Amino acid sequence: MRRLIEALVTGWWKRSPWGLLLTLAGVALGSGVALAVHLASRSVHEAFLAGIETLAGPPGHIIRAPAGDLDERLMLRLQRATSATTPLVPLVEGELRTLGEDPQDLTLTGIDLACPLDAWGEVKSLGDPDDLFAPAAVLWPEDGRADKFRRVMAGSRHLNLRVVARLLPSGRGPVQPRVLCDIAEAQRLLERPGRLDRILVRGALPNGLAEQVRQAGLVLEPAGSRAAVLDQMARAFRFNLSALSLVSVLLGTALTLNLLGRSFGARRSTMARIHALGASRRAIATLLLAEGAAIGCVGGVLGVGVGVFLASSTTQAIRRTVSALYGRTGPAWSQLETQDVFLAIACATLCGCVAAAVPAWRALSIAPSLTDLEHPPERQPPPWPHGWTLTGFILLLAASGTSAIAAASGTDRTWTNLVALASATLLASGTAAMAPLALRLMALTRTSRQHPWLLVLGLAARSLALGWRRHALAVAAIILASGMVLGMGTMVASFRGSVAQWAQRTLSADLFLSSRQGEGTREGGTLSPAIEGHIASMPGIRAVEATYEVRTQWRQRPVTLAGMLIRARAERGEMPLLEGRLPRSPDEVLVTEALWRHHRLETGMHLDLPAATGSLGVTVSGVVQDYASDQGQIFMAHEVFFRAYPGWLRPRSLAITLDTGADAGSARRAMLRALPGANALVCRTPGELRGEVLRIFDETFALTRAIEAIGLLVALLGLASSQASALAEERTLLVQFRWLGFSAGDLLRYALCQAWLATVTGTLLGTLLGLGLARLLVDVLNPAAFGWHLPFTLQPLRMALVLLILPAAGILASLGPARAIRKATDPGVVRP
Amino acid sequence: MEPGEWVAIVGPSGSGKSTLLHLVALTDRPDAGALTVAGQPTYGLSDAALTRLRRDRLGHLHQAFHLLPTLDVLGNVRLPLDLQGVPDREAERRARAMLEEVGLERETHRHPAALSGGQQQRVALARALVHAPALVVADEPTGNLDRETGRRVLTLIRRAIAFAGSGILMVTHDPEVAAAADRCLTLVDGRFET
Repeated sequence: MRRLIEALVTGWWKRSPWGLLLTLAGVALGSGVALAVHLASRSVHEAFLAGIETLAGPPGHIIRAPAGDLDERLMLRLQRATSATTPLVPLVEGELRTLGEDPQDLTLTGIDLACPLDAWGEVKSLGDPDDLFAPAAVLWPEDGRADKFRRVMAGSRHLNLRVVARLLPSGRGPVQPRVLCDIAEAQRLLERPGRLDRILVRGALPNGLAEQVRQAGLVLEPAGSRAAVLDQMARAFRFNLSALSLVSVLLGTALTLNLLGRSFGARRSTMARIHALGASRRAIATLLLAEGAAIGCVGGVLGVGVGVFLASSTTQAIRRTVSALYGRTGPAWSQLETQDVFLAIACATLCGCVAAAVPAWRALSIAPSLTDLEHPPERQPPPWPHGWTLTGFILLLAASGTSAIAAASGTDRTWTNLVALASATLLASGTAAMAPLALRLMALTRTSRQHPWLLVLGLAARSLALGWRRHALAVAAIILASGMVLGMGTMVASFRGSVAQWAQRTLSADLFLSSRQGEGTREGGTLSPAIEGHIASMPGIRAVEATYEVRTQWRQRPVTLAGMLIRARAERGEMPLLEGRLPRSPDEVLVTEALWRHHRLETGMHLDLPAATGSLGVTVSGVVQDYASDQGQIFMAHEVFFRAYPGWLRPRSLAITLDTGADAGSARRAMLRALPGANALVCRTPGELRGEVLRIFDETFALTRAIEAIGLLVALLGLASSQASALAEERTLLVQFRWLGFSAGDLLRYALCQAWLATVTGTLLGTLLGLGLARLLVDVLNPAAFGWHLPFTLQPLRMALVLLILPAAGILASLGPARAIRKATDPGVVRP
Repeated sequence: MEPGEWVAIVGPSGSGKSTLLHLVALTDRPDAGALTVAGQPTYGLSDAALTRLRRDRLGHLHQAFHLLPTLDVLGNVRLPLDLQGVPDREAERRARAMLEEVGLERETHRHPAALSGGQQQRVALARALVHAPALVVADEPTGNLDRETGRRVLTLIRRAIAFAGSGILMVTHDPEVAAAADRCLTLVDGRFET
């Protein structure tokens, strides 16, 4: 048996180490991407579970202000109005950054330290428990350092914190690093005396509390409802990641299949000889299966490393995105567990076995022979791939049918997502199934024979047509990868273009002022009521427009009610209407497109909105294009807003218009000098605000670029392996070329032309697939998932770049096999 | 060898027939000694120069035909001319004339696998001679054919080399083939027997 293994397996791989490395790389990348997605998904999931617990402890409720923070006196009022035993837990939060060589972002959470701290982790006191209430005393997350004092930055101030206890993570404790301290101390450190971010209600909801909360103009919501919004986004991420990782895993398996197939072809003579000498076919087939399993297993071990690396990068990318969009609940790195390692290696081993199954099956019918076997002659003329073509057409027809169903399914997100996914899969499979036809059609090409390049190009085209079975898999991989890149890219670019255009149109004031507190979070902060009048009285200021916002629940979904000067904004072109008209009477409002789609609203429809005074009856007069919130907003005039929320006088933001010719930079500096508490304010020009919008947008989609790159890398590896395989099988033909007078350079050109043609074919079909996928994403998934439409924008530059770069990368990827075959077909080495 | 001469080499297995043939075909290099092919000394020539010499002055014919499966009959025959950069029309004309000479003018657009063994060897012969090489190296060209077809191919070879003005150096085990040559040399242990 040892000799058999040496003759058939180890001997072969010693002779072609690059093939072995390429196979291992394919398995490692495939399993690595799958593991990375698994770990990243778990990180996100844990983050949201922890998010629920850290926000509310065990399942309960949250009381919060409709926007910004709330006064702690409200809590005392609620406590008095209900009962003394009502478990209300006040909470205040702020961001810290450690000082030193490796700064770390942390959240400082102020809570009542007399309450149970189980939900926050295990507390390990470093001294007297009473120290917990000492000035600047904090519970620091365990980080392996024994420092008793920590220098941190909160806002622009430097603080010296005293570590009196360690916080050890336990169970599903918070994954975001948090520093705990007593709420009074937190308010002092964060310079927010008397302010709370939210009040947690533990356990069952006391009688009458809901009514009291409503009367106080606050919002009461189940602990999970905020997290549900985030969880929805997490699910979108997981869906996106899983779909993309599936492509990578499939490409990795295809790569392994291709390489093992190639190695089988190259070892046919050896197998025939071994069989002739007495080894049974079953033993040979078993050996091939074991070889596949071993390659899968080793690839899986390497894949664990790849997976850990990719997962940490992916988690970072998701964390940045979540932090940019929602703040504070970004997922942290989830530890690799033993079962993850076993799962990754088992999957990779299975992948290797599946890839080895076809060669093993073929080995069961090998004939005994003691002479060198020729490759089986190709039938001439090469057969047309009728089966594949028919399958492709059927799949494409099914794709168009399902996409029509998805488009018609309206606002049911789950159903639309499922049907759209089915449609995308059918579209991708159908286009990939057309690869054999595209290759076979190359037999019809006619090139001039007068130029050496054109001569070899013609020969390479015919060779691809003849050997379409060998090349179809690699071309299909390129179709999928380039389609994915173009589809996602076109969707993202269309989205980005729409957002940029919308931001350009709707940000026409000279300066925008908002609160630094809550910066980057969906809730945001609010401004002092006096600030509007203060700014309006400054020299050089022509107008100040305040926007008031309240976030509340309506029809079981979050919604933002915004009071603004609608007509003035409309006159400046900041209210692009998609349907209807501007409000004419005091009870008319505008709704954003996302809300309009989600709730199937119509102009003229009467709505009863939640209000501090009970309810507010309004009529929809029009629908506004808006990309600020996928949850939807309702725009109303100031008088309508104050009718609903009479005590809500803190504006969310101010739009400031300067006198003609005034310099925005100078005006901003003067304004911030004159305003009290300027440190807590952010004043931006429209350009800066647009830049911020686009930065958040880019961070949101940074992740997809990484996955696209992996897909492309695997596809190119597939191309290189397919080229190596095809050239090895064409060796006799290539030697013939040499006898006929081809130089070694001609052979190199021939191999490169083959790679170029295969990549161009794949990329052209991939372009069509990409356009189809982009249409599906833009026209079907976006309206269903986010509630807004996007104008489909073709990306000719991106398409041209893909069409240029991918074939060039294909040529580079096959340079190795091409150079190898140039040497291997030295007429002095091999004779026909 | 004289121009246009047909020389057959016979000898037992391992005597060096194929090695000699590959040396002459410029696919192997001698360890020692001098080799002049078609009037051109080959010592010290680069791979590119050897490739040019092989392309322009040599043709080859094999037992297994070794036609290119990706090209049809006409494409196979005109390939040496295409490699030499002969203008398109001229290459087409000469290839068709050569195919007519070997009796395959009606098969120009068929693929090699659709032809019989004899027809394939005739295509290989046409390809070996289409560019009028100084010398054709042939390794058992009738080895894969039945006796009758082999005889017809030998007759054709005689006529075709006369048509092209080429010489032929043929390795064979078959005494009948050797007898058809102008001169027959016997190789034993790497040396010609006189």
